[in-house]
Amino acid sequence: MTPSPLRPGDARADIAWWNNEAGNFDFLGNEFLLWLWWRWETQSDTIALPDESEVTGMFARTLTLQCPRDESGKETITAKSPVRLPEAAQAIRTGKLPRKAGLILVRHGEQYELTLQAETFTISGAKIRTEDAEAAADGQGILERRIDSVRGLHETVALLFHAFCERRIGKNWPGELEHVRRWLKTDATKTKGRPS
Amino acid sequence: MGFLSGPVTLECFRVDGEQPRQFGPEHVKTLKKFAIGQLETSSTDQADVGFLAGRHLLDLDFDLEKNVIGEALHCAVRIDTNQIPAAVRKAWLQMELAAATADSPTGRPTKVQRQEAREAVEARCEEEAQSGRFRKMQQWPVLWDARESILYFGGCSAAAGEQCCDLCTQAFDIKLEPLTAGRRAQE
Repeated sequence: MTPSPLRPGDARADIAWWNNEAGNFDFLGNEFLLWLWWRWETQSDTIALPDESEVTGMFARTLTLQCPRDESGKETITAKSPVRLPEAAQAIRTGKLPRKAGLILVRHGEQYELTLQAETFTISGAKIRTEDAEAAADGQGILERRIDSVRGLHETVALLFHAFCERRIGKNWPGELEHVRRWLKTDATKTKGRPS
Repeated sequence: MGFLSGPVTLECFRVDGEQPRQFGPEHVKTLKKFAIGQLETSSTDQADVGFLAGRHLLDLDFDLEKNVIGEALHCAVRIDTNQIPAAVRKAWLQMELAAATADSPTGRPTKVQRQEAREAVEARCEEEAQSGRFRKMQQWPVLWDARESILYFGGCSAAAGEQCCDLCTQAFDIKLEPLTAGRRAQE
């Protein structure tokens, strides 16, 4: 498996921060964030997960994009919804890939606000909000519940990535990739809800 | 602290090797055995790495009830370094050179004087490092979840994560592999 060529005419994609080693598929993290962006913008903000649960999400707070060919540098956009800004759309249209993104994910009544580093899958600054947090037991019960929330955070991100990987290795991926390319070429700057 | 309150930062490692289903007194005993300060490194340049009980930077009060929460083992890793700041080294070198050239009519140090000054600074660095005056202590929370066979390292420093892995591998005889995007895809 090699990185998906996102620009029409490219036979393969070069990624400056990928070491091209066989067995290193960390570039899938960058494709995952771009796919999420496309999916949330063009279809629904709710995605079915392999465990038959659902996650609702959006990009929030921060977005770091970098040119995979090392031609046009790196930029970090900080805004309430960075993907809504024209400079973010312009960046992906010119071929930049997301390397780090702020996400808000809601699953099973828990909301996670986090920043995800695409290749390492390191999560930083994650805030966990539980609907019935106040109803938790005291003492050790609170700690066990908190650890369950950390598990829930990890599981949610893992399942969302799993959902992407299922599509990425599926036979329909070429078609889906074509939709992403078309979106990048024509629609990425005028998707739903963006101020004109 | 870390995983038990406030915002969470984490890097995940898959735990391979023989693993417990439930943590017990033997794991707390291992934490004590590999606690910070128990294994002093021979070199002042090398960092000291060891476990903390998890509440604060100096917490060595390991306890089953505190460190085992349900199916998870919670603690912290402390990394102590003894690096003399570059500006301080530079200042010491300037002082050594000034003393060596005090009687020189040109005021310029010779090659030999420079070499002697550098050696004097190295010796002083060694001495100061041993005194602990420039010791820097940093801690990161660690959560080993037996249910999911995952070890969560509460930071995003690659170097610290690696040192934490080395410590856990040595202490508990396990193998840890970072769950990067590529590794997750393969799973």
